[in-house]
Amino acid sequence: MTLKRISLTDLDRWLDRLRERGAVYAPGKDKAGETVLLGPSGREPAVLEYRNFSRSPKAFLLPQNQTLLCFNDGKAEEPPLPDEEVLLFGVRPCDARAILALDRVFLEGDPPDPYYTQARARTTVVALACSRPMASCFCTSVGGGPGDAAGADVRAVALGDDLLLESQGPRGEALLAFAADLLAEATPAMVDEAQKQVRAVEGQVAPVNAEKSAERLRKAYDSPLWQAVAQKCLGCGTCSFLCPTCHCFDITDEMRNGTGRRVRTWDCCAYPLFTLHGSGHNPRPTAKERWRQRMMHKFRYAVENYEQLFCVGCGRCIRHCPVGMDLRTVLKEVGA
Amino acid sequence: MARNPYLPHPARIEGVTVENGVRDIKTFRLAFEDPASAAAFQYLPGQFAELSLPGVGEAPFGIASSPTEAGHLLFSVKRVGLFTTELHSLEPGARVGVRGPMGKPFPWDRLPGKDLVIIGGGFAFATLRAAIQYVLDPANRASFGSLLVIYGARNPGELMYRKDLAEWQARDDLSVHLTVDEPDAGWTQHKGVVTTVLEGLKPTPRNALAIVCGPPVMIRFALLSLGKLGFADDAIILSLEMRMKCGIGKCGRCNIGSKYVCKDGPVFTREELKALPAEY
Repeated sequence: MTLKRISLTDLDRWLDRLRERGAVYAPGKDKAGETVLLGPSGREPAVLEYRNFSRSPKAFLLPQNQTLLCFNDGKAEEPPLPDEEVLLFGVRPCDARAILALDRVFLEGDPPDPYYTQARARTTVVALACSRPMASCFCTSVGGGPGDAAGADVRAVALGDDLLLESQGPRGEALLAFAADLLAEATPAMVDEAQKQVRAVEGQVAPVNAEKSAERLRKAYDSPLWQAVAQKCLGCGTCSFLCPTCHCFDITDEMRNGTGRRVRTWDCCAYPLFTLHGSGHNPRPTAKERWRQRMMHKFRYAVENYEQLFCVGCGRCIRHCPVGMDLRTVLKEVGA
Repeated sequence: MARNPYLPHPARIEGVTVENGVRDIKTFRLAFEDPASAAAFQYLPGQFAELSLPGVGEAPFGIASSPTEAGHLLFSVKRVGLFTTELHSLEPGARVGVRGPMGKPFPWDRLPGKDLVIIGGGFAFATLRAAIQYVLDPANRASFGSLLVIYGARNPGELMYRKDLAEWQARDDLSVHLTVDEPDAGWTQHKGVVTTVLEGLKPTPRNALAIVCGPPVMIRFALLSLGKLGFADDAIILSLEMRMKCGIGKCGRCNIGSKYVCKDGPVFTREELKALPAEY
């Protein structure tokens, strides 16, 4: 592991230099004043005082709309893919960890997904440790933490006027080597300080009972709880679209004047059409079955298939649900 | 790098057969345009493929031909929605993409040496036709025991594969029982549901495996009858249908519990299904 430090006053200079190797996305204010991962065009000073982005960075690996095939004269062809290196700077540890869940499906699945694989190979992730968790955060209960490095190529921790940078593998090493003249060696004291700080923040994250969720959910498939909690679900899909691990998609065709494309689009298990058969039969006919599927997929089926929860405790589905659905309640009550 | 799993193999329609009286089921005979596709498309009965029409979309269909019927693929398609309506409008010569083969086939490692009881209803008979043709192939027939086929439809006009049925009924190395709910004037075979025929014939469960494909209500009663006859849960093989998109276990909609029908199925034993939630 390479340990480096950079003064916060040099951060923008460093990010600028990194633009020589490819696109850099770093936290900045958008027109609405919200902190988002700003792309190559916005060379605003990087902002580090944010809790998390409202949208997860999954779209960098699994775009909301992605061309799978192009149609010309009735022939299907693979689209040209961008080959530019992409750096995501300032991703929160929960969202970096979520990439490992996507990897299980798209990278390690049989067959692997060629589009995801290609995007993943050119993306470097710098995770920035959290200093102020939100009330809806629960990363520490689902295997993560505010200083977690899982899924990141470099972990960064802000310490006063400095940023501590720790590489987590070859891709992280390469990043830290690129503009090494702007980086200084980190001191052992900084490492201790970072650990202390992360510990303190861990204590601020409210715990949720996700223990043995797979086992508890297995026994609770027919629980009356599902009917009760799903009653207020609008089926809007906000939870899925914002979730950093939700990855279900639809495939549709668009055609105009003989040319067109086959496109994959984010989809959502809360929608009735998601599972509707041509015959009219629907194996998940009501919100009850659909909401149960959402919980089961993240906290049971993913564990059965990948020995891994498909929830990183980012809390977006809780913060943004228009009717205040809260999966923490279900996790607490199910099988209790 | 491996072939892009979203890229269909180009094929052309060689022939179209209208299968039923109301003309909403057609069997499409497809041939690959590229010999490399034909070589790459290695399948066994029970598997399915996604048919693809540029600008219209894709839909999954069981492969109705056996790999022993070399040179082409058969798909029997009922006209129910956008994609199938478009497909039904196509004539020989038209181009269709084929993605696959997908899913697990019938358990051909377990089937040899066994007496086979094949029970089908309606247009779900497609992959059963593939299985029967596979067993009947001269190179394969001796590997299997007796072959009993019970096939039911609403009325005689709804029975698919009339030419095959006639050929099979003329042979002495399998026994084919056809039954309809509503016979017409010329009907001389069974009347009633497949389970009545099954319970009348009483095939022995000893050294036998049953394969069942059909509408949900038929499956429900066939399972009851097979259970009564003594067929164990792992001796009953079923094939499921689900709405699908990717066909490779990623798009997330065809799961039953932690299993994806597209890659862990569509073929399951009754025993395997009993371990899953009844969400199908």
